Amino acid sequence: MPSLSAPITDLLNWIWLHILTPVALAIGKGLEVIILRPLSEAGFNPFEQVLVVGILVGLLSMGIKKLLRTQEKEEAFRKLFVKKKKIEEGIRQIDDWKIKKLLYETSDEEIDEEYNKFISVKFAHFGLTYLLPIFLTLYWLSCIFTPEKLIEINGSIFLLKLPNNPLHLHGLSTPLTFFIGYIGVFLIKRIINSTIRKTKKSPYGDFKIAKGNTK
Amino acid sequence: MGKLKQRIRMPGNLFLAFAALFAFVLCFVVGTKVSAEVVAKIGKPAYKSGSPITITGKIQPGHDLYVVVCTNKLFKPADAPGSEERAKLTKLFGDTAIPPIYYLVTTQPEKFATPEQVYKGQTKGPFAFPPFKFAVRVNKIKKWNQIPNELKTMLGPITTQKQWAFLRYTHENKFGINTITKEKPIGGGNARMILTDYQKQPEAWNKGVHINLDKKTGQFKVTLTPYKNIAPNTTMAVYVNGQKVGTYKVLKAGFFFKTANTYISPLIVFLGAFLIGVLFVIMGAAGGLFTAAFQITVIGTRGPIGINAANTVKPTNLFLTLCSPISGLINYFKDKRFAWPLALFFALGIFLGAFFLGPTLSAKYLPMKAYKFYLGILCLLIGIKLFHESLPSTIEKKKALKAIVQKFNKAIEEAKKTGKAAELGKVEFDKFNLIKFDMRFWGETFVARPLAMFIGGVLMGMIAASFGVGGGFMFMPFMTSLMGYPMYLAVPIALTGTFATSVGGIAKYILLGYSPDWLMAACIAGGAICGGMVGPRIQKRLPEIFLKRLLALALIIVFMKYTKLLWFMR
Repeated sequence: MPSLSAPITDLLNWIWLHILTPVALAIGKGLEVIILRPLSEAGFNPFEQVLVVGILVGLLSMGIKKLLRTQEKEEAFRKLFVKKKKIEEGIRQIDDWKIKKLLYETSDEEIDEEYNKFISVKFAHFGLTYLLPIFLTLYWLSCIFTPEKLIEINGSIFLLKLPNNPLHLHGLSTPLTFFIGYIGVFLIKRIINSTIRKTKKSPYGDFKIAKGNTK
Repeated sequence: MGKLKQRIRMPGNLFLAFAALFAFVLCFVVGTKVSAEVVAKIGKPAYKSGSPITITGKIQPGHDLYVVVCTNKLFKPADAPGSEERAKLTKLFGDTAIPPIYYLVTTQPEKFATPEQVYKGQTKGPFAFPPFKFAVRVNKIKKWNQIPNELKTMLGPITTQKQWAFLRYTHENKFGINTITKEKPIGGGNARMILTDYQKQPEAWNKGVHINLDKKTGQFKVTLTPYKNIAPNTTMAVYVNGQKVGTYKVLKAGFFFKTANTYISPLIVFLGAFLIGVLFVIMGAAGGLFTAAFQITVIGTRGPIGINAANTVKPTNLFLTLCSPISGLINYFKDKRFAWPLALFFALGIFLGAFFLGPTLSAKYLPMKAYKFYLGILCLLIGIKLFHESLPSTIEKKKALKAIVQKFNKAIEEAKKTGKAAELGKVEFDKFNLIKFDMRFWGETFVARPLAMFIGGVLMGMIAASFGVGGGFMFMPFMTSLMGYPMYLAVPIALTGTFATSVGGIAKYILLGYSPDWLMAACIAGGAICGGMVGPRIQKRLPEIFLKRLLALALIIVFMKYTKLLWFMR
């Protein structure tokens, strides 16, 4: 078996090492020049740099979500689902039970198929929007802020050392710092959105007054 | 003649100086007899990882040969990146430093180890009986005081009893093997350490080891293949009869995943994950289990030196299980399909179990050996479940259940149209009670048991995070069978549970210092996404019942492999 799979493995290794790796390295270097170097020159320490990267990737995820028009597609599916359901209701009115059963089963299968497609596309969108940017960025960061480099800069493998705490958390690692920035963006966005929504509700731009008015 | 006379007539103090120098050189030569008599050469300055290496040279005629091949850099417990591993190893071996990879190739193996039959597998615990406990032939390493004193100088960087004890632990104990040595034991026994020529001792661990020693001249040639997953650029040291004769570099053999500590093409990982994605869509469950088995068996995730292999597999897996629940969860929330008194207590219990108990207990008590064994048991259970699902009676029952859910979905659509969703989706109860109270939700009355949901959540969150899986396979039977809730009520709560497991487990693993292999996670996620998109398109063309049975069989084979049920799978 190993002798049979060896040529395939060699070919896949070749594709990865000679085609994909140079591209990935170029992208990584480019990002380093565009993002990390300016931050470093502006006096940002590694902790702040990773935090900014987390924020930027959070914004990127939001951008991808808009680009993929996930919400619109969800809405389109809902409309399609309702339409199909109406057809099913029509089928129920048919008197001939054989035709009714056949049509109903066909319609039911169509709904199932549409739903499966919708779920898989949704899963793919979710992966493209959140998982892949997170994983790839963290891989990139792990190549830049290696434990050896962090020990050289900070004297520890952490980006930020913490004092003794009940959680026994010795410091903030690269992934943890990244997630603080990443999740922080979404939280801030949510707070801004809800503030805007509440402000819009009020004719005076003041939530408290609006609440009073609605009552 | 005249010149010679001049030399003879040299001053007395100069003669004394010459005599002293001669005596010094003589003493030096006698004192380092062994080192001066060893001449050895490593075949190449660099070898590809996993390829055979050759050492040739000459030792003192009539002597035996002791060649040590090991990593040049030593490892001490304080270097372990995993907090649980660091604590455990420091407690056992303090600041003792050893090479993580160590082989002693010798013509006198019986002085250091004895081939014997020992019991391996489940030697303690509830499954400590055959076939889970099985006999296997191993090269049992002798204790320090059983080794002749004159041979203790032949062990390269190993000079003390503590170092030898640590080495024995990293080659004979499964935790030690999976945390430090990383080399898979042959036949489920010990990792290779004391080796000799296969012709002399035809045992499994000696395969590929050749020693040619001409005792008359002292000429020798040694060939062995070190562990195949040594990180690129690692410097390996070679000692012959106690003398360091040189080093060589390890060259990469394909792409090396640094955190997973394995050589495999990322495209193979991608293609494997693609297949899992297709299967996940068809099966609709067990994605976490498939990914875990894929990481262990196909990819061969070992984890960095100082982190038990299981503690790399689990966080990677938990990140991947985040995928499925989150999007569905948002929709259920929007549709007001959350029976929050239940979901809240359940999710809270799961989060606490997944954060405070699962990863800590798992990192401590569920190293690779136990992890694989119990994962195998889970695979068996899910395999049986899948087979049961492929039976005609179950398919009929499922159709009936589906009809109920569809009816409920229709009611929701209508309610939303008429604006009644907010009203019907509201949870109503007269009096809250932690043990039991009646709750009205979507026109039905249910018995809510918050405490039972919370306790069940803690237990299941602990189990799911321990194994690094979402836990959906436990949540649904718990709610539908034990708690008696209908499917449309249970599904959103189960999704909340899966989400809580992922978040709680990931947070804790990261805090404990365990990190996934990000590139591997990206390859798996990428492959699973593509597989998930292709799956529904080919699903109709595939024989579903046959596929389910085939997968059930595959899971049962995984069970047999992980529990080492059959001898040829060990």
